[in-house]
Amino acid sequence: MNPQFFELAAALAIGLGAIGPGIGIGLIAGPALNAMGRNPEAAGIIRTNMILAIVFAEAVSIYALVVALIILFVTANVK
Amino acid sequence: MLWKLPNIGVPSDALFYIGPFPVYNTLLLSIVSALIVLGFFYFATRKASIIPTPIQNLVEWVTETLLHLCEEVAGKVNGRRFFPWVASIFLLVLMANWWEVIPGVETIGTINHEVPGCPAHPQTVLGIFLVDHASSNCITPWLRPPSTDLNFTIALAIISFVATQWYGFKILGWRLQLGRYFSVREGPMGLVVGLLELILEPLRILSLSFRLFGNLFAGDVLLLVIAFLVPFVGAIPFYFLELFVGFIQAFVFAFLTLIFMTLGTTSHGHEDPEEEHAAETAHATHQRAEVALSHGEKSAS
Repeated sequence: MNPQFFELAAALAIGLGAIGPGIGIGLIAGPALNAMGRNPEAAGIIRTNMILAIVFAEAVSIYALVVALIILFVTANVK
Repeated sequence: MLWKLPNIGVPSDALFYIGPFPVYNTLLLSIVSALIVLGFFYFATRKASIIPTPIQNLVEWVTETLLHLCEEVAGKVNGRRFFPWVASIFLLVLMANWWEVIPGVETIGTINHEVPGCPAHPQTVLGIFLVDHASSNCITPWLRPPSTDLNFTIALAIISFVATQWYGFKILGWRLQLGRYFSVREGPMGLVVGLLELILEPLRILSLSFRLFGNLFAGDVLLLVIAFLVPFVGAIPFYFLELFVGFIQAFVFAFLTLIFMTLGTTSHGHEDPEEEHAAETAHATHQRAEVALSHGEKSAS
C-alpha cells in the first residue's frame, strides 16, 4: 500500500461523499420553502421537519468525512 | 517561512494520571463543561425574584423555549417527562461545542517530542507566540473540546438510546414495546419491518455520535488549519461558522433525542400526538364556524 495514495484516498472519500448529501439537502429544502410560501401558518412545523430531514441527509456526508479522517490520521500513522 | 500545520490526532492525549486512570484533555473539559452549566443555572436562579435580573431572565427564556419545544413535539405529559433529558443534553453539548471557539483551547500545551522533528526537551508553550516554526506541529494541547472525542459522543448517544428504550418500556408497558419489534398481528411484512427496526435503533447510536463528532472534529481541524494558512482576518468568518455549527449540532442532538423518544413511546396504533391535536383543533374550529353561521342565519332572518 503506497503511502502516497492516502491523501488522494481521503480527498476522494470526502469529495465524492459530499455530492449526494448536497443534492439531497437541496431536494429537501426547495419544496419545503415552497410549502412555507404557500402556507405561512404551517411554517413552524414545516421548518422543524425540514431541519430534521436535513440533519439526516447531512449525517451521510459526515460519515464520508469520518472515513476520510480515519484514512488520514489512523492508517497513515499505523502504516 | 511557513509554520508547520499542527499535528492533529483523533484520539485525545492523556495529561496526567490519577493512579492507573489517565485524565485526558477532553475528559477534563467535559467535566468542566458540566460544572459550568450546573453552576451557571444554579447561581442564576439562586435568589429568584418575580422581577428577574437579566441573567435569570436569560435562563428562564432558555428553559421555557426548550420546554415549549418538548411539549410541542411530545405532547403535554410526555413533553415534561422528556424535558430533563433533552435540555440537559442540549446544554451540555452546547457548552462542549463552544469551547472550540475560545482562544487558548488546542493552542496552549506542552511540546510533545514524539513527533519527528521536534525538540527533545519538553517545554510549555503559550500558543504560537513562544513556539518557533520548527516545532509548531508538536503541541499536545491541555484543553480540547470534548465533542471532538468519540468517547464523549458515543457515551451521550448510548445514554440517549438507553433512555429511549427505558421510556418505551415504562410508558407503553413491556408487551406493547416488544410488540413494536416482534409484531405478530400485522402479518409477515410487519414482522420483517419490526425486526428491521430492531436493527436500526442501535444504529442510531452510531449516527448520533458520528454526526456530532464529525461536525465538531472537522470544525476543529478547520479552525486550526485556517489559522495557520490565512492571516488572522481571514480566519474570523470560520469562527462564526463554528459558533453556528456548534449551536446547530447541539440542538440537533437534543432534538433527535426528543424525536426518538416520542417515536419510541407511540405504538403502531395511534401515531402522531401532533396530528391528533391538529385534527382536534380543526374540528373545533369547524364546529365553531358552523355555530357562527347558524347564528348569522337566525339573526338575518
